[in-house]
Amino acid sequence: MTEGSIMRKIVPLLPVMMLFMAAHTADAAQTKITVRAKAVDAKFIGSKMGGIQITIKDAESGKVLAEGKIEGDTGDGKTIMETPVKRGDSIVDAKTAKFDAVVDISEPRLVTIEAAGPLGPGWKQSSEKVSTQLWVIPGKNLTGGDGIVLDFYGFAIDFTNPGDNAAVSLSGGKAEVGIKAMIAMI
Amino acid sequence: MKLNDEIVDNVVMSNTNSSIYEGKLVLKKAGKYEVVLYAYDPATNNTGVAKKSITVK
Repeated sequence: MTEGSIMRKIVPLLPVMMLFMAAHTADAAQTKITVRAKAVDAKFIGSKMGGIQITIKDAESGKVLAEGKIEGDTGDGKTIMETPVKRGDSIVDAKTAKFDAVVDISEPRLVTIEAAGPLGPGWKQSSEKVSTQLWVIPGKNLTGGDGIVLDFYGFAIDFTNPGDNAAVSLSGGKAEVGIKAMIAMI
Repeated sequence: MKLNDEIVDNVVMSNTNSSIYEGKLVLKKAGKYEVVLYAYDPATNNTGVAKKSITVK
């Protein structure tokens, strides 16, 4: 490797290293984090399904740094589901469901972001937890692009018929019961 | 569909309208049945389960 090629590899790292040093010596600073939840193979999860509970914790101490609920729209179906996306593209708009968290930290902290839901009463059996971890640097907002996106696998099933604790009687040696459910991507 | 913790029948539901799926259970013995509904898409690895109980007298 030539001296020139080594420098080409090192130089792009310098702004990152300086950023870390600046943050490390800073006083407590409020840092914004935009969190979104997205269904695998579908759109974002929002108010229509009762929202998603978000808890942001310090990974080391477990202290809750921020908590709230993802609310908003599911996003534009054509942009999310039908349009090819290349690196750097955003697939959200101003109304796309999100939780704008603010954490108050004085040094870089590894945080755990936990998402639980959907919270709507019809979707209790479909509720899941998804989490991720990442470093947060004081004053360096994590609001770029689509924000921090947590992917939810699974179908939401609203099992509408039979009703809860249904009871039927045998007639002629059998009982017939219709079953009906709405099944959608979370 | 389970009766006394034993699977007694499997029923495939039909997609009758958009996201709506329907089927029919034929229950031949008295007891408390557990209906376990599951959905599975091998292309996306999405799965889901919901349960209901039915008492047959």
